[in-house]
Amino acid sequence: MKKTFIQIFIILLTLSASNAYSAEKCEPDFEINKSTLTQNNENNSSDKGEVFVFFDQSKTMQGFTIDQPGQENLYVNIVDDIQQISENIGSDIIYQNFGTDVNPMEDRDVSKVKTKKFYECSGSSVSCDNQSSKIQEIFKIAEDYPEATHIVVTHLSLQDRQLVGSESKQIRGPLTSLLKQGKSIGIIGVMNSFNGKIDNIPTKEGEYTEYLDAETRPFYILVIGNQDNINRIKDEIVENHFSSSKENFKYALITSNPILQNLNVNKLIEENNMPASLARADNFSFNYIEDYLPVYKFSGNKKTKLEFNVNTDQIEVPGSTGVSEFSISEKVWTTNKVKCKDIKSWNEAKFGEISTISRNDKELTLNLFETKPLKKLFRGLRYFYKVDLYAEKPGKSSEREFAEWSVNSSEIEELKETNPISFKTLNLEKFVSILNAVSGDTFKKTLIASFAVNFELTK
Amino acid sequence: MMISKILINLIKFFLIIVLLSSTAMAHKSKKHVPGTSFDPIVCIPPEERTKQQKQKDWWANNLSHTLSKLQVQCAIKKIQDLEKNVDESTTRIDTLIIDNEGLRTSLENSALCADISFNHKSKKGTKLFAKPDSKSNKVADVKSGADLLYVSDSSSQKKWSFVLLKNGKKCNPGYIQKQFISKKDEVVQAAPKEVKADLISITKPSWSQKEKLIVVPASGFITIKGFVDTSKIDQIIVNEKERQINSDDTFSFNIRVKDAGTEVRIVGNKKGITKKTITFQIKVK
Repeated sequence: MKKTFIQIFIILLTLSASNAYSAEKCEPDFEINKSTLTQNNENNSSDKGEVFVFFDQSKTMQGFTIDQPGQENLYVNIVDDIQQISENIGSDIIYQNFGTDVNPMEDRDVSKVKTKKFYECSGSSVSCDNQSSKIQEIFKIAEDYPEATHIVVTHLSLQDRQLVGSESKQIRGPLTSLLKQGKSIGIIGVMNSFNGKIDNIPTKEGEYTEYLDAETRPFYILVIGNQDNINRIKDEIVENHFSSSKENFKYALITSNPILQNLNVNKLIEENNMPASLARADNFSFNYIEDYLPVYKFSGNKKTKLEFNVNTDQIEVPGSTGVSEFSISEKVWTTNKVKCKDIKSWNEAKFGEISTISRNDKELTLNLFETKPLKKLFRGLRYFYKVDLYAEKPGKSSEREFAEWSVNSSEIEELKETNPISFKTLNLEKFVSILNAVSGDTFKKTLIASFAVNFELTK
Repeated sequence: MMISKILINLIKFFLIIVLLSSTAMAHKSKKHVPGTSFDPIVCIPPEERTKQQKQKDWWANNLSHTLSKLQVQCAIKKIQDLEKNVDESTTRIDTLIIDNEGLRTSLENSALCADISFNHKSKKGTKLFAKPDSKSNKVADVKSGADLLYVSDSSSQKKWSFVLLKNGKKCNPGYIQKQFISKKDEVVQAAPKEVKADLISITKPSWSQKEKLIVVPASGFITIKGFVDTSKIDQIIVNEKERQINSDDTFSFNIRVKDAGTEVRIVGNKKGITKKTITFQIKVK
């Protein structure tokens, strides 16, 4: 009987002990701000959609089909690839040519895209000489058919007038609509051999001239649609032609959200996001609260180094504009009971700005307690510091990516006078900048990561 | 005495007859001017005359106050040459008049260049050549800023283009080096008169049946272009979506033509009141 009583007593004691443990207030009361961002925020469907392929038929494109001795011609092969990839990603493939107008293509014409003949102008000399590639028409079509994938092969040289005023609106309007619907635009640039005429080069007198001595010139593949399809096309082109060197290849992804994922949703925050020395601190532990918020718990002193590092590869969509500005939302609670079991309540402290953000090409660093250093905090207290990291503004990395191949209208005549072997694309940087501006307008402040540090500041 | 007197008279008579019938008596020679019994007039220029000949000239001029025989011959020669030149010139003028008539007729039949939009101009003063070669014949001088109509690039010489040079109402065709050409800004073509007669006109693609059917070669997107009479229509709605009317009275839109065909409805309004409606089919051939 006595033995049974002792057993019951031990069980009750154990239960009361666990109750006491669960009553511990080891962290303050707060609401976890959970992200709804998933790895890919587009509405993906396993169904293959329609693919509309548009080939720029302006005469200057002819130069890509004619071999230039000593220069590598990838145009023909890449056109082949595009036709093949389109068949793979789409249920219906519909081919069009475009220039001043858009026209449907018969099947027999599709194979001619790789030949000089396809680009010969059959209209009057005036109309043939006034050719322009109205890329805005494709954006309008894409706006009307957002579920389809649109692939455009073009030289992408755009006149100033196409990038200002009402013509610019014809690019911005449809693009805004597409990005708001979660669609993206991939720009794949390929520096290729060229043996032909580069026309419509604006002069300072407001007229146009030509250039005939270019041996290389970039052409572009614009893909409007889901990021998956865009990446698939890009990856296949890279694998087929640029696996050894990407010297003649450039890529940018314009998307409403250049954030790849929320690190909490995918539980990607680990111990090693903090300095290795922290793991050796007294009473160190690393746990997730509610399976969402990671908490670094330890006993520290004024010399404890607190840096939270994240690889930008983990948060930015590859090839996208990236993020130019991050922000943090931070809160601190304190308690004079350093042991969790003794804590009855936490007090929210008003420290103002506590930490700073710095970044380089590869890493984003949160320098915790840099503005409000640990040495200025009261010792002998327990602190709970929670940080939400946000992407505030999209970046301009895609503009930088293409700047090398771009020339402004005010500089193109001078470029021509230097008789360059490799010619640049008129207003390419401006075009990418317009796309970026639109993506910036559709960008929303996005929560990237949340974490907390819970520490006793020792003497 | 009487006999000798008669003989003398006979001789005189015979001499008179002989002298009067000199032509009949003159001998024929291959040296004569064709059709005459004269030797060709030979003019010895004063600088080539001998001392004696110059002396005779002096005597004739200063003592007899006449021309010497040599001077007469030179004067006759000059007259003969001038007459010959007059004949040749008359013949040439006649030929030119005939040629001129021919050219005038051909020019009247040729098209005028005045009604063309010249899309290029020359950057500097240069020349228009008959061939894409600066050693070929010059067709015309090209002044800086002269209007040119670009026709085509030379197929053999990539740095040369074939153009029409505006010359008043006419055009001179020829080759010019590309470095001297610059393109003007985009040429805006005015609506043809027959098109402007309609309130709404589709100019591209062409009708298979006017305002009823357009046949296209394949399914896919196509740009439809047209004009409106902006004095009577200020709004264009295509398949319930408003389209922009451009400053040159044109409009355009892209439409998807499916394999089964597509119906297009264009409504033209003025101040909200429908003035014209066109409903047509676009079918795939």
